[in-house]
Amino acid sequence: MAITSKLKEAALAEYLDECTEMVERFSKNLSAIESGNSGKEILAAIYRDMHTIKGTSQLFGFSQVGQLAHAMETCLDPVRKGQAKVIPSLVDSLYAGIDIITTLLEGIRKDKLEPDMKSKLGSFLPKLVAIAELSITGLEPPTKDKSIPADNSGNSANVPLTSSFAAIAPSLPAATKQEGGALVEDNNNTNGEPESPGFGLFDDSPTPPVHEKSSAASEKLKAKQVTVPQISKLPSDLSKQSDDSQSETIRVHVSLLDNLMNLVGELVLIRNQLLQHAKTNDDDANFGKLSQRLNVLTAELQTEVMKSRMQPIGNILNKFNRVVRDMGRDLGKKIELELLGSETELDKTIIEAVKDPLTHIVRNAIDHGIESPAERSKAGKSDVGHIRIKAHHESGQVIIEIADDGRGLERQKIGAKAVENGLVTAEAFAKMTDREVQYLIFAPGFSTATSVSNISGRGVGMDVVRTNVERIGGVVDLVSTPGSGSTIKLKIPLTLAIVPALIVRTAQQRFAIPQTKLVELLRIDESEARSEKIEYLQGRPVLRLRGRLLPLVNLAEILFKRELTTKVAKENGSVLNIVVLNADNFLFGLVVDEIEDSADIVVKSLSQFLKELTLFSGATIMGDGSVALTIDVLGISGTVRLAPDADETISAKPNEVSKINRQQVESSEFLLVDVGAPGSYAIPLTIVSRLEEFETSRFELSGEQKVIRYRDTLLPIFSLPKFLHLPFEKKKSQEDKISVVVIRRGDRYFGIEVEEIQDVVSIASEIDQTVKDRPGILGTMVAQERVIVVVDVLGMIDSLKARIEGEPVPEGLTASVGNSLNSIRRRHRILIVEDSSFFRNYIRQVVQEAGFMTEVAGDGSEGFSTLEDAAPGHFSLVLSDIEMPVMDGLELAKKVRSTPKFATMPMIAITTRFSNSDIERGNQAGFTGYLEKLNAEKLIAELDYMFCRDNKEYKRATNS
Amino acid sequence: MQQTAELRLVNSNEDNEVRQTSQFSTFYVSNRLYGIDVTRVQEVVRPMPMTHIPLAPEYVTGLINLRGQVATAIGLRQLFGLKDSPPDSFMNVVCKVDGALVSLQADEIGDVIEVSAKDFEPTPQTVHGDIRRFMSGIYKISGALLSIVDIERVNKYLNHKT
Repeated sequence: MAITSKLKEAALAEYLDECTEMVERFSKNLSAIESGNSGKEILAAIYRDMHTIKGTSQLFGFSQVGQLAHAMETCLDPVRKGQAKVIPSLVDSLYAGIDIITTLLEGIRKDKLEPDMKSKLGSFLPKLVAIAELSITGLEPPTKDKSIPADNSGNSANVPLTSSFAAIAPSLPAATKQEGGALVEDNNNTNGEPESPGFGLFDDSPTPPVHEKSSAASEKLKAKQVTVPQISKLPSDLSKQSDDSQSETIRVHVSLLDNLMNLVGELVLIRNQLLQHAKTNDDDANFGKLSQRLNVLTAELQTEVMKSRMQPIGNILNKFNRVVRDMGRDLGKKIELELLGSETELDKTIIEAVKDPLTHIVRNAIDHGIESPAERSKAGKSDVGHIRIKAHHESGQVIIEIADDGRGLERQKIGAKAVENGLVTAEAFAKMTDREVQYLIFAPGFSTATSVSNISGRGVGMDVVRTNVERIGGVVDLVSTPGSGSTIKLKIPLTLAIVPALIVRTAQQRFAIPQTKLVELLRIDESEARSEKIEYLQGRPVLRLRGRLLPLVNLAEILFKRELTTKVAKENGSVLNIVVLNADNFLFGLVVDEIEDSADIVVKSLSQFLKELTLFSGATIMGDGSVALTIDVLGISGTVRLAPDADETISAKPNEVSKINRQQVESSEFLLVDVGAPGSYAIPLTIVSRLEEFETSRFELSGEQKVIRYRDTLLPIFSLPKFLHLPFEKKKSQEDKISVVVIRRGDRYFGIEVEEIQDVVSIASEIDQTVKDRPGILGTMVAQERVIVVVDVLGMIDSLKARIEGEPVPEGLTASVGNSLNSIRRRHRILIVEDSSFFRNYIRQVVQEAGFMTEVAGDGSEGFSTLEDAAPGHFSLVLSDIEMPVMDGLELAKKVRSTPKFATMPMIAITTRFSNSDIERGNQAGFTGYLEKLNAEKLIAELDYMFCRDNKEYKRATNS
Repeated sequence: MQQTAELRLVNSNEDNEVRQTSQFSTFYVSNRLYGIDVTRVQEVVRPMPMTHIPLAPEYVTGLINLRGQVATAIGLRQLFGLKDSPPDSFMNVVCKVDGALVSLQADEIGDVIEVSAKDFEPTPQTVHGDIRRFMSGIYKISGALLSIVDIERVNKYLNHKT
């Protein structure tokens, strides 16, 4: 609560500053009008200022200011519209009005309360209105005497004398002022109490034209070197003496600050270049000194300019009080908002950039997070929900946490929604960790609210939050415990313009790494026997660092595709420079050739068409004038690992064996099995439906075929060595359990018995098909320094299927639908673009078996030329892999889309790479669908949907 | 579509006997003369040190420090798919596209040539698509043919492609 009042105070101070500024401007403009400049703009400006004063004052509940400003505004309106003339008496009363406003503002500033001046207003307002009417009728007031109404001088009776003394007053020292005041009848208010200047002035005198007064007064006062316009300043001058804070702030346009920031940025660059120059030309000592001085000053200037753009985050946080109250009321929820660290300061541009994301998060917390009071009490919580927004600085970043104690994220709910929205397949969902599931809420178009409220969940939401935060270099993190609430954490850089960075060198090229992501620098001397040693895990280097494994990534390998990782350490045997980076809780070591220096850099963004190089966040100009690319640490980590991992410690899961050259080869996951014969055998994981263990006693024989009752059917069990005619070494079969790899083909399950399921590995190399001495072997791969035989399980099943006693083999939908559907299928020719021959053949087979016609291509460019060479309408659809050599799927899609005659050609991406961002990228490139590789049923279903959805039979089949 | 539109433009010019002239900043790539609308060219600079961008498409040759601004260099030779051996250094024709600086790298710089609209022809269909897609047409000038490179088309391609 203290914070709220603090914020209120801040808002009040801002209001006062703004009003004072406007009052001053108003006076200035008024005097310009008085001196004959009655241009349209200036009239509009004074009207606008008064209008704003009115508006804000009423907002703060200062009714007197509001009332007066409203009256003055009303007077000005006809003037602004050219319906009334600016007559001197009007100007006078406007001055007088401004004085009253000033006095009121002083009172507010002092006591936070509007001083009671109602009686004065009561007499002033009617006069103002009368004069305003005069200004419209164009009649001058009847008495054109020379009294001074605008100021504190009082009655018109003692006209000339009064004016001169009042005019003198401000220029006199306090003591004489008192005397001067004393000379004037009825004028003791003026100098003694500046906050209530003589408002009695209108009581008995009509207002005379001020300029006549002015000239008269100035003539008289020339000798005393006092100018008349000071009259209007009297009250404010006096008040300024009493309150210093009033003039301590000025308002400047943001663009000025932006320019200033840019210029400082350039200055920093020049400073860097100069320092570099000074370093190499150190014979002139004076030059060195001067450049050092410049260095220090530049740094100070930079800090100060940066500060000038800083604003407390409370400026946006306090708005949430209202949001929470209003939304809570609308939704019938009781919610308390707690704001912590509102004074935390952030760059203005960043504040603006996080405003929308924050609003979204808060709204989500209110709408989806906090339960209704009834639900809360049922769950044993207090019926008042709490949302806490906490901001604080941490290592050069600002952390904003939005925590609620609501229901948290429920796995099943998210899953159902995600599957329904087609964000993930049910199978993929089942495999996801809780954390991955929670991250699904950041997927585009995701919303768990069962009913779309008008408050949140309009199809945009957390994905917008994420993109917006990431755009300014921030990170969104999410922790949620079902039942007890969610916390969303935003990590945001303080400023965007100047970034401290580490300069590294790799392959003779310099790169800048933002220091915010930097954890530490390591220098490993391989020749020494030390605990810090590089080891290889599944072919990838890792380092034991203080008891933890740190995965290493070689920058040169990522950037230049050089196979250095495995060799650098061994061949060199000498020194290894490692930059330990933290990318969103994923710690890894980046191996670089040299670590040069740290420097403040100004990041300039790359051309739009290079935005897809996610490894770089921009470029900067170095001290020597050359350009260096800045490394995007998140981009690198995204390239080297397959999936984000929740653990802060780096897990060394075998399936995390990362692939780096994803531009060239797509990695696939394989199940490594010990089949009971020498050698390593692998089965593509995507075709494996599940892994089971069965007790030996459950095996039965049907004829010669080993079967087991599995679910509601009989599961035929095949033995690989038997099929491949391999020497079978009976090792562990004595055990009473046998591992079975269950594979689904169509809607039938088949089992493959294996001795042991060893591992799941991700292998990036291509299947080498040169060595396959018998049917049933697809080819070989080299991984982890050994040869792995890839088993053609599907081929095996197909050839063995025939042997299974007489049963017809149903195939997906094919069996359940009739001829008309098949005939539709037969009319469509599908182009399959896939580089891996295994998948190409598999997909072709699946699609052909369903009845479609097919053609194949080995890469995007081949696919495109096939497409281009074909007669119009030859192909109905393109199925394309994403990762392919020469031309990848995305490029193919773009190319197809940009060719007018193919603009409407349906294109489905088939891939193992299946994150939401991939789908998005695919969609952007022009794919109409996105399917998981080797999900045959879904593929056929999708094709049917594309071509046969209007067919009655299809509708019947799918509805049933 | 584009071609017919251009044809129509030419015809109407002839009909009206309009003596329109335009100026083009010219340059050579593989001994062939190209031109860019002079109003689109910010400046022409001598060979500059370049920073290579790893993983960028081949025609993105690097980044150049142009008095504190970073310009992206595009190798026209690579962009046009020309296979002959390139010279050691390139001249930079710097244009501002979408607020960003793009430097088109040519072998040599020619004069600013003034041409009249009546000498305009659309790009012949036989010109290879890799180049034609960047061209808005040809001007027949004495002793040579001036191929007009449309910076907007180049930009469109760049943004589309990568």
